[in-house]
Amino acid sequence: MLSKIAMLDSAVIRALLLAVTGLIGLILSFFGVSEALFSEKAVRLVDALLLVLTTGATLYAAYARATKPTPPITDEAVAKTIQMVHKQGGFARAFMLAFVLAIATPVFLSVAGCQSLGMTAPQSYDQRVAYARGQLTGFVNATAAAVENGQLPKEDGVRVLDLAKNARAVLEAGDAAQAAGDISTAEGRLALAIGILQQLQSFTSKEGT
Amino acid sequence: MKTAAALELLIALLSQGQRISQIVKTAQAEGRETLTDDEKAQVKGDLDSAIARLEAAVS
Repeated sequence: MLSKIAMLDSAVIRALLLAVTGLIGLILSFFGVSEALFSEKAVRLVDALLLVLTTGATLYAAYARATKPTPPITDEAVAKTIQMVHKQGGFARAFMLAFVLAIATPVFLSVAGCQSLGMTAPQSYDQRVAYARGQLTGFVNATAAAVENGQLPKEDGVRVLDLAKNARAVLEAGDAAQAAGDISTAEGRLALAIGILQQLQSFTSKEGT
Repeated sequence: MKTAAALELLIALLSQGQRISQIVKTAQAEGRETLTDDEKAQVKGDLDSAIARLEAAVS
């Protein structure tokens, strides 16, 4: 008999809440909140601490998911877990774990402006938009390949397609705002597109683990 | 087999990042903050092609 546990009893949920806290801090920093509150040197320190917090919490979530017991936390998950055990003999699919990692990496690079993996950090709106479009392209291509290979159900592909089209439309609206000289609106549209990319990541995580 | 496919996808996604990185690097090396129309069209074209591919896959 499989029993669910309370939401906050899950180490993964606790770690993800911590990571989200760090991400919210980084997003606020992206919009200049840190600059309004702290000196330039302190802003860099705060951003670095938030990055360490987010990265550490995310890695811990992955570690907890990989090594600790992972009882379901909702009745729906109980039913699905039993169904998945019958269907595929286990709870996690290696394909989906790698898929989530593949998506998390570029999103992390986007939010953090990290130069790891040899990628050049964007320094302007145009360059950030190019990275956002590139991430979206990689994600959509990966999803298409997964559907073509039968690794992902078509209905999941349709959901990803809808979100990708939304993100593309938002980025195009940002382009129009930039062309009209409204950089503030353009930046807002870019942030929204990054939010949709994160929705795609969440959707994949939900479906894949 | 699934793991191998996943790694291929991971490499493909990182390759896409490297492709954009190269465009950004070129722009920065030339002292440009903006991308040229050709560079923008290339990035947009890649996305349009990917969406068309997924549309075909789910249809």
